[in-house]
Amino acid sequence: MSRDRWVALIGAIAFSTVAVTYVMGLWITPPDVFQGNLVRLIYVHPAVAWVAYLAYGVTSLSSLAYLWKKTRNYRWDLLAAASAEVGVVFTALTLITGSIWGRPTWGVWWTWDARLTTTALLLVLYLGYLALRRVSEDREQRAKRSAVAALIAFIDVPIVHQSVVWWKTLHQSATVFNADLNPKIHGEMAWTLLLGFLSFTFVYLWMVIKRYDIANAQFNMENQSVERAIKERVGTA
Amino acid sequence: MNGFVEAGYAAVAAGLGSYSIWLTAKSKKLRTVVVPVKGDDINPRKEPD
Repeated sequence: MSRDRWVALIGAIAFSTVAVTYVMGLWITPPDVFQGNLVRLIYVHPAVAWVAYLAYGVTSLSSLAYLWKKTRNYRWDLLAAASAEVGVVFTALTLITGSIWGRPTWGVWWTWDARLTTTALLLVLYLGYLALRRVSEDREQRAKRSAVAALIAFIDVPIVHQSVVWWKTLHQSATVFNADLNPKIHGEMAWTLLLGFLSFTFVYLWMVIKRYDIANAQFNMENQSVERAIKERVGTA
Repeated sequence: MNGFVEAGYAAVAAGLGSYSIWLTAKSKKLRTVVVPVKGDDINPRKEPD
């Protein structure tokens, strides 16, 4: 099977499993005893937050691969940037869905709670990373600076995750990945939550492949235009 | 339900949907620019005299 078909297959799996998650989350699963129908947001909110962590993890590993001389290649830099951009989309959605859940639960759209603040900081850090990529014209300098910035920004990821443990926060503690690894959710609610995690991971995979392909095509175009310009100069000299 | 749940799901669908559309449109546009057309050589080799 060709690469294009694989990508199309991943896309089809991603969007069909998201559709199933939506049906399960909105209509099949029961309301919660305490939260009522609001619990349905749990099938999307933690899943998009997980994908943001995953995206920044991939950005960090790719940045490390670029910085390490043995594996240095511009493809790692392109992958890091592609994953960071997708991560920014998912972080923004994490904040939006969290805010929508917070309004009826806490009575406010936003509060300077540790989890919310560190997540907002995460978004700002990676927006800064993407902005930094547009500053330098020199390709090597841009790649090196961006890789270092990505690694610094990643420090915030474990802080976000542990914020509900380290500080007294309004945000509830982890439902699945808690300290005792004892999930507080069961039955079809747990399966729908798991499906949400899987489906959004597939969406991430599809998006990062597409974004990487775009960056790669632009990279090749830049190379071609530089080569053509050199040939033209040499030809006229 | 209560409006908040629907809004949350709609926000995710709108966010991911619009980004996906942008990705698809951009890659299609680039494909038409980058993929060389058969027989259209940018640097045609000179035939030996």
